Amino acid sequence: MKPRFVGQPIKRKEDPRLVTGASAYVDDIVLPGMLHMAVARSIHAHARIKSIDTSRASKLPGVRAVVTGEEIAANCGQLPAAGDIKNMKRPVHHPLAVGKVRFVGEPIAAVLATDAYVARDAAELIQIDYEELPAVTNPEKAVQQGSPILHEEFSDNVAYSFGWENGNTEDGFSKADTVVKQRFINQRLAPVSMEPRGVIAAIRMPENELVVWSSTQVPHLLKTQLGLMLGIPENRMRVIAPEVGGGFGSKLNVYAEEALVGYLAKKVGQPVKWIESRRENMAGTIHGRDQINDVELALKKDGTILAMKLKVIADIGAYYQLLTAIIPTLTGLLAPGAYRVPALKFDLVAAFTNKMATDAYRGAGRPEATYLIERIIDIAARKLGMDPVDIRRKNFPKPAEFPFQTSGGVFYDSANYEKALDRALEVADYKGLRKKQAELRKQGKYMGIGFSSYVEICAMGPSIAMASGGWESGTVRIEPTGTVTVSTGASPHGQGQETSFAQIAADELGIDMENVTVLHGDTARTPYGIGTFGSRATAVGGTAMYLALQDLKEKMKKFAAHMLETTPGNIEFEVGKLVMTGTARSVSFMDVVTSAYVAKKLPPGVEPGLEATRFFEPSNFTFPFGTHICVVEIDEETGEPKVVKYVAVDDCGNVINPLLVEGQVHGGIVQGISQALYEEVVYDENGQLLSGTLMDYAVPRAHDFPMFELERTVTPSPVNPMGIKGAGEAGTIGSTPSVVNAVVDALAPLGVTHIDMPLRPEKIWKILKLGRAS
Amino acid sequence: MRIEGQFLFDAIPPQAAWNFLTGPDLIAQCLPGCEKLIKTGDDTYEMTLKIGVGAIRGTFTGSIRLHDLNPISGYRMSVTGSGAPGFVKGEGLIQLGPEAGSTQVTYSGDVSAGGPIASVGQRMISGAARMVIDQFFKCAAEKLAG
Repeated sequence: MKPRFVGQPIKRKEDPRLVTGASAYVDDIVLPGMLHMAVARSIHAHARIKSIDTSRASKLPGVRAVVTGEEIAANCGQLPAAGDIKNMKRPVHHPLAVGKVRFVGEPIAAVLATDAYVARDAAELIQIDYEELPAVTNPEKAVQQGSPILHEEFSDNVAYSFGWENGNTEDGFSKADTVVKQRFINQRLAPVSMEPRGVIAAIRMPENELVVWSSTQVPHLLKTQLGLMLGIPENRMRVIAPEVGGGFGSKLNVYAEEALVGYLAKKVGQPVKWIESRRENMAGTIHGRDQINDVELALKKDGTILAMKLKVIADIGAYYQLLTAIIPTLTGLLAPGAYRVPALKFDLVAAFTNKMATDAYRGAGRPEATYLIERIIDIAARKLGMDPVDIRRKNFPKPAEFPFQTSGGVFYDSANYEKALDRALEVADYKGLRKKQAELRKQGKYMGIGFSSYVEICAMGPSIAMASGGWESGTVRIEPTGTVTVSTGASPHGQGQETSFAQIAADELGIDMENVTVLHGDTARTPYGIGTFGSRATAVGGTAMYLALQDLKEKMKKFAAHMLETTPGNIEFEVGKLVMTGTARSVSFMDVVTSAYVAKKLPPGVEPGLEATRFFEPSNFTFPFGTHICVVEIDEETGEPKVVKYVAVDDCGNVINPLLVEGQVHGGIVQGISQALYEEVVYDENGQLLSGTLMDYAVPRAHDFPMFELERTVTPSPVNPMGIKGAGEAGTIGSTPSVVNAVVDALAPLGVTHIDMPLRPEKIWKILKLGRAS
Repeated sequence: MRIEGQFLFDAIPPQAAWNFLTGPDLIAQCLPGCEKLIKTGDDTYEMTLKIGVGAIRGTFTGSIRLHDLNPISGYRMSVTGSGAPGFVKGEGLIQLGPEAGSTQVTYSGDVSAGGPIASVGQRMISGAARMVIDQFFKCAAEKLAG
């Protein structure tokens, strides 16, 4: 049966309800008797709490409760943090600070009141007497002797150190004709999902269960962890992720506020709501990146890479959130990028600093790797006098070499890097661009062409590489009237799986998409699952559903064979019916469904009903790849870089819905370009957050970008039966280095070899003025 | 952040300017948002000040201490305050110089801020501070002239 829906650019089933405002985000949910929580937060980066006076807050009319750290520490577990790194120091992390605060925005007290405004006013009336302590915000200084120590139970601020070596790095360096070195700063970013976080909790009868509505990417994981923290058996916990307005990894977590809302709802016996303000979001929701990467690359004269040394200092902030410790370790896995790097030595030091925790932000550890390899290979090309295209091509493994074991310690599943590069060169008209660049240079203008031939780690992942399982679940139920309900353990929040999963199910069963409903995000309506992150929902969650569909198809074939008096091996699915191969004989889909439910003529040994659940644990990650080409022009008066052309050729394996893939790539490229040019979370030396609002933190706008020219190559993944690789993060991972490479290329005539991100006009302006002066 | 500037008290001799700039009641009359300024010790005053920078508004309570007083030519001032909008701390030097029957006041200092007020507009704080200082001196000049 030829697919009717898979591969087609079908518009999202989700959008009509979203664009008409018909659906509900957490803040749209109102429950009878609902109270509102507000949080009093630290104004100091590092201080002892001498005393907290809640009397004025408690007396404000409408205030129902005020809680502080001691009460929460006595009644609620600590925040969970994954990672089993050998020497990892695990600091105490209560939902409310006890005795000491370690970053600006750390929760100190929570107020419960009859409306949100009273709660906020009361939170401001809480008097906190601090004894200020010196703060440390620079991760290199933080790990030095004599630095202020954040967690006094430890002797220093080294959260952990970690490293490995694959191949013989020293041997590679000893045989090198040339060695290039560079320090790259991968700045701290704020995820800035359009909807901030929000939580409601309520005890519901008759189950006497705690129902939690949270803007989360991981409802099942949250249910397990919150139950443990609050001492509620998991079978009396239910978590619902309603509409979620973006996450980018920032909602792949278990936050203090989720525990506080649950605790307070239990304590007062009334529903409790908390909605994060944007200022709280900037200060108290996880940040991303924040690594310093010292890279050395050893090469032969002809550009062949021999070995690489990578030292990473990861600024992880004051505490671990859920995946804080794991993220920087991913950078080592992907450091060789799309190249044959025979030996790699990776050393990582993670530092506690007086800042918000870093954690997963779109790409999570892999953008850092892609940035450093794609930048250092450009620096090497320039030093060797090679074209950036030629040095890349020289070091690509060939398609026949896959699965390809890298010195990062992983097996790349499948790829054809040259094909994507060649297609990008063709689409961008590379020769024409270089010619134009030469002409503009003669006129004293600055134009640059930047490449990024990235590879990334997706479809997370095999359980061996994941903190709490790398599988996903899917249930498919064909109801007696022939409608189909799919429920997935993944938790889409903007990716469009209600559409793509319906496409797959409809094609497999030979029915219309309208007859398929996809449920997600409610732990009571879906099988236990892991969640949506790491570009995994379709490749892993979709595969679980696909396997359940195969089970149901096998069962339906048995019914059909019984009805047609043949064997199941002779039955095929067609649109609306099951046919006997090579004959005109068939039974309708609906007749088979009816026969399975009325169950009067069951095939021998076959049970009634049409419902199947499968769990899929992949044998490996998938490794999408591609080449991005960015063209920038720099305004020589203001130093402003403008992206004038952007070509992306991505390969995410087989595509279920090209519209959804393009949407993911568009958003990803925007976030990646934005890291290169605009965004940066800034703390001052005292640990005060200076980029605490959207007036101070640069979020890009549509007019900052040209139309993107997108193409694809298709190299199916052997890791899952549908050959899907995943597309959620590739745009972000691939784009950032191409922009910086383009700007450096533009400024190369001035002798520029590197500029740290973000490439603000003032940095470039200074170079232009100094360059011209000298 | 660094704050510095000058103000000329036109046709006002240094002694009069000195009296004004070190007199709590007089300061309270001219400091925008000042709700309370009470002497609590030698050259130490308790203060309640309402301020707003952008969307962040609220009341600060804190203290001002004048020290290293060198009558009519200068003194140092330490300010600390905290409240719902966060905290501010400052250390400044105020110098008075005669200039043909007038008084030239030169001020310089370092101010640091924390909490919401810092996150909302570190860049706006120095501008807001300059505006407050300017209003203060203009008001003082008017009172002295009147």
